[in-house]
Amino acid sequence: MPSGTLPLRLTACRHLLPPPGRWTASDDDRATVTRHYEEMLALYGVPVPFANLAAETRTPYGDLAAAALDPERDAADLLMVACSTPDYDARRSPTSELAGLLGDRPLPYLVCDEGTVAAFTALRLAGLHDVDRTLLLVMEQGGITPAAPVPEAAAVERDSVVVLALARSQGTAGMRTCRLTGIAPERLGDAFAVAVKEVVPGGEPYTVVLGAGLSGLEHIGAAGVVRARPGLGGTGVWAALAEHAPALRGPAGQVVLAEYEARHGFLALAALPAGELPA
Amino acid sequence: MIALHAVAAYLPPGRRSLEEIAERMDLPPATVRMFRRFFGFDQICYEPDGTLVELLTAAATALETLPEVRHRVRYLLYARGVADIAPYPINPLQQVRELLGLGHAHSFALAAHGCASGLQAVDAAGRLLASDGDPLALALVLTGEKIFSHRMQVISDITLMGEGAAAVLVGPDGERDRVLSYATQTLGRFASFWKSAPGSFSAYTDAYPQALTEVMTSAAEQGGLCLDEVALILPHGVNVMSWGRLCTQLGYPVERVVLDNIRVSGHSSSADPFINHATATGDGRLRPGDPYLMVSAGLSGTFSAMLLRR
Repeated sequence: MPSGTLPLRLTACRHLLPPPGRWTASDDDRATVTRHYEEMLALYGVPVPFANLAAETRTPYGDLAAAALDPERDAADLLMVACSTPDYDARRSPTSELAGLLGDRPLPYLVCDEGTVAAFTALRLAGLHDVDRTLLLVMEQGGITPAAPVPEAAAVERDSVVVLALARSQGTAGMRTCRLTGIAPERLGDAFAVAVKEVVPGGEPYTVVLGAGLSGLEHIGAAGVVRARPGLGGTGVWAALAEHAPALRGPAGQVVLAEYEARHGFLALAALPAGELPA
Repeated sequence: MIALHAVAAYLPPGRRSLEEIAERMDLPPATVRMFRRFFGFDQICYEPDGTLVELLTAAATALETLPEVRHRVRYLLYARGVADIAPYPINPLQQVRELLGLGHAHSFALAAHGCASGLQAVDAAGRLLASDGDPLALALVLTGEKIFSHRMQVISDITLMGEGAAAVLVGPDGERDRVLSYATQTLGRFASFWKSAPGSFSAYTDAYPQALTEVMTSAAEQGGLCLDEVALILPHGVNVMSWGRLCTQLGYPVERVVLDNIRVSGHSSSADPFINHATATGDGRLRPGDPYLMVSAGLSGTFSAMLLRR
C-alpha cells in the first residue's frame, strides 16, 4: 500500500563498516546475561549454547550507534532505529542510550521483527511526525550467529551502520513509500512494477537501488540500476544509497530504493527526489 | 481522532503463587512478605510450557470482533517490553500474523519503550491509519511477553512479571475510547540499569515519581483537563505501593487507579493498561464519556501517558 507523500528530505547519509568489537561485561553481568539467553533458547527448544550464537567480538547496538553519531552534528527530535539482527545484551536499551546521548530530546523508536525491510517502516513512521529533524539508524550486527538458516539475501556478515539525517521538507517534493505483502518470489517482477507506479506516480524517470533480496530482478525499466552488496542485511540498500548518493543526485527524476524480504513476502519501496539527495 | 475499537485481555490460566515464585527465585521470606503485604502480589500468570505465539494468538482471538473485521486490519504491531524475545531468526510475530489470517497486514514490532511500548504502538498505529485516510482501515496492536528467564521474573525486588497479554483494535476514528493526547519522555540515563552499576536502580526510583507525574500532567493538559478531572487511571502494574505513594503526592484518589490485576496476574509488561481497560469496562468503573489515562513506565527510562475518553 502506498504512503502518500512524506514531508521529508534527506540531508545526510553515511555508511560505516566498523571493525569487529568486543562485548564487555562484568563477571556478574556476563553470568546474568548468559543465563537469561540460555533460558530463552530453552523456551524455543534451541539446543545450542548461547556463546555459540553471540560472539565475543560482537558490538552491541548502543556502541555501534554511539560510534556512528556525533551529538553536535546529529541533533534530532526523532530517533528511529531499524534492524533485523538482535542485540543479545538485555542489560541495555540502545535507543534510550542514544536518546541520552542526544540530550534526551528525541523520541526513540526501535522497529524490528520484519526482517530486512524494517527501515522502510521506520522511514514512513518518521514522515508521520511533525518534527524538524529525524535520525534514522539502520544497523545490523555481524557477530550474531543465526539459530536457524537465513536466506543469503538477508545474511549479515559484519557490523554495519547507516545514518540517515532527515529534515522536514517545506514545499518540496517529499518522499513516498510503498509496502506490498504476500508477495511470492514468482510474482516479484509484477509486484515491483506495481509498487514503482505507486511511488513514482508521475511516471518520471527513475534510478533504482536494489537490496540483496532483489538481486535476481531484471528488466526493471529504470534509467539506472544500483545493486546493494550482499552480507549487510537490512542495511545493504541504504549503504548503497550512501555510497552512490552524489552520483544519483540530479536535477530531475526519482531514486527508488527497494528491498524484498522473502521469508515473509514483504516488498518495500521508497522514492526520493534525485534533486533532494545530499551532495 | 483515533480510537480503540476493541480491547481484549488474555490472562493465561496457568498461575504460580507468590510462594512458588519465591522458591524458583530463591527469594528470602522477608521479600515474600514485602511483595504480598506492601506490593500487593499474590499470584502471577505463568505457563512455562506455553509459547509466545500461543500467548499473542490467544490475546487476538479474545477480540470477538476480529473475525468480521479481519480483512480491514491493515497493520499488525507487536509492542514489546524487551528487545529480544526469540533466538534469531525465529520470528513469533510473523507466525502470529499467519495464524490469525492477517497475511495481508503490514506487520512489525516496536520495542524502544520497554513496558510503555504498548502506548507507543497505539500512537504509531493511529498515525499510520490517519495517513492512509481510509475510514474503515484498522490496526491490531498486540502486547504481552513470555517470562522466560529468571532475570525477567523479579525486577529489582519491586515487581513480579507475569504473562498477561492484550489485543487492541485501533481505528482512525470512533465513538468510544477516543485518544485525546499522548505524552512520553525517555531519560537516557536509565538506559542501562540492568548493569550491576551501584546505585543505578535507586536513581531510577528517585526520578520515577516526577517523570511519571510530568507525562500524566502533560497528557491531561494537552487534552484540556487537569488530573482531578481524569475519572480513572489504567496503570502499568509495577506494584500497589508505588501507585499509592504517587497518588498521595499527586493528591489523586488511589481508588480511581485500577490496581486489581496486580494481585491476580502480576505486572504484564506493556499489556497492563489494556488488561486494566478490559477490567474497568467489564465492571462498569469506566463509563461512557469518562476521560481516563493509560500510564506506563519502561525499564528503558521511558515514561508515557495517553489520555482517552470512553
